[in-house]
Amino acid sequence: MNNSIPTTRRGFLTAAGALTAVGLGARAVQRADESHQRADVFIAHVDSYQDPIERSIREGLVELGFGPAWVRGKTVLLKPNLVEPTRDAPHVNTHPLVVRAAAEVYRSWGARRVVVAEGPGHCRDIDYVLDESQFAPMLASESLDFVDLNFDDYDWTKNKLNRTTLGALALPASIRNADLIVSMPKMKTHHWAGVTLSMKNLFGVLPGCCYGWPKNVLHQAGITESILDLNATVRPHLAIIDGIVGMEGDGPIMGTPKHAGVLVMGANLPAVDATAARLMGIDPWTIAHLAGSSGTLGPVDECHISQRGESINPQPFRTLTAM
Amino acid sequence: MNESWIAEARRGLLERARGDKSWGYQLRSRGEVEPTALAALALEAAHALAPSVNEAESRREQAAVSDALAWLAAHQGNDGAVRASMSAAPGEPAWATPLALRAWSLSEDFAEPRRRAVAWLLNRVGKIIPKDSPDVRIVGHDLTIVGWPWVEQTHAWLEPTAYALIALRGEAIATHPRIEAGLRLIDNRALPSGGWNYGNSLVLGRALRPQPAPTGVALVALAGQPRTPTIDRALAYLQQKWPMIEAPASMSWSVLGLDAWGERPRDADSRLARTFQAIQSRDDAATRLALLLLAGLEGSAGFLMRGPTR
Repeated sequence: MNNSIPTTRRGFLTAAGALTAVGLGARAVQRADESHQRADVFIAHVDSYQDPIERSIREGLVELGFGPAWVRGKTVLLKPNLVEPTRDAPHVNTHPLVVRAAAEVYRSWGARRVVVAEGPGHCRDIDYVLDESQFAPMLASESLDFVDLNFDDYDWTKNKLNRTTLGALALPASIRNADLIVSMPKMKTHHWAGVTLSMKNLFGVLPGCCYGWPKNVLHQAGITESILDLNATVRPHLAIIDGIVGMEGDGPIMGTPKHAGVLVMGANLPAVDATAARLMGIDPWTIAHLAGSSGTLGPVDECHISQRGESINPQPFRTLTAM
Repeated sequence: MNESWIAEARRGLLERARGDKSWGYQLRSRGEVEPTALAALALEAAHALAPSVNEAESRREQAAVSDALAWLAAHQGNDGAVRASMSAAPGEPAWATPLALRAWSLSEDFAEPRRRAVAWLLNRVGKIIPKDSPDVRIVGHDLTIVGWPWVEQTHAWLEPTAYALIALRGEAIATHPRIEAGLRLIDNRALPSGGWNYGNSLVLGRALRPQPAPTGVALVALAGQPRTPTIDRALAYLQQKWPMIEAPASMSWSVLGLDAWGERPRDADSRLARTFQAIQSRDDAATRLALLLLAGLEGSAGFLMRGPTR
């Protein structure tokens, strides 16, 4: 399937806040042995943000084997993708109603505390980001705490995978102290990484005060390699992808809205992202960080992913991949 | 100027000083360079531009400023950079050094830390990409212009370059080639529609979106330069966006940027006062209070750009 829009050769530009991912991308073409890996992924059909999203998330998580016993007494950190402030293009960021719905599920299951946390990559002013993305009124009405990960206290934590040369990663206290970390990205194409889903969403975990705005340190270290190191070191517990309306074309910020009408969720992030990529009509093996996850962080092959809920009905997303 | 909220903001900022005389991003977090430098600048600007508090409060403010400057000096490394943590971790941030430098210029007692910070700043260079690289075609800006990065070994971006210019021009070395290049970089990163964002203008042929805070910071850094169409477009963007901005930092930098070019919004004072009331009790209020205070004092943009005052 070829949905891509050809662009200038190469690309992967560190100066544009992008990268030099060519090295790992080339290595990752060889499929790893992931035959020992299995994961469950749930796809919920949710046509609009007015639909009962909370019910869909609850049903999906129960189907995946999660419930009150998993959550009771725990601190749950919800990490949306709020990469940059824009009121006019709501498809750039995770929709606040999806985060609200997830918070309601965890609260109803007895979470000790539910907190929303993000470290936007393109804007230092978190108040402005929350205003523009319409998160501020939602957080206020739901009495949800928010943590600006760009300025949280941090500690340097040993890099557990070392695909980059970054020996340690600065991890915010809120990330280290959370019992359950839920990556909640928007379903988007990405002009350098192919897709940006629950794994790439972890860029927002690292504090801008150490990595810059944009987090150019990670671009220099290699986007693909950084995604893998981050996921191996942070080890999020769950992903819930907002694919009700995603973004196609020149993602992650300048693309156009794309209605896909789905939420995709699961505890293994590579498997969730591989499934979402298939829903987008993109072969996950062509995404360097997914191919690089196979055999280590999680399965990518369909035969190793047990799919629940709706069957995959690809909604081809146009891509804009610099090659 | 509504002096009642300004007085409250001054007191609120003082109350948020930590035991070690610094300020943190959060009430209970460690002291950091940016909030400490901004607090010192804001309190000193209040002292200079709105000297209406009583004598005891004035003395308390002056002591807090002196203590903050000393705290910043105590956190200057051997290389001249100022870091909140003296740990040897390679990524420990030093980008707030120009703010510390600007704060030190409030006093004549920090000539040596200033000299070392200036030397460090002049040696800090964002990575450039040669003109013959194929990558150059992907972005709309000139990747050969030397500016300042957030972090060592990365590219130059808008805000660190603007901070460096504010600090260096305050050191009365306005003709240095680095300053000249920095001014060119800011001009080059402007968005076609007006204003600035973090520092990408066009990527893959698409113009990106402006943001108020970087636009305000850039306009302060450019203050005193000849007025150009780039500046006109940026001012028009901020004037158009101003009524919709509620966030304290973006609001403050917008006022400072407009003020630097004689276009301070008429309702600036009332809107800043309302925002102050809304955020004053937040745990993360320190940097916001400092910025609101700076924006609330007419003439602060000029104060930020002036050289040593005492």
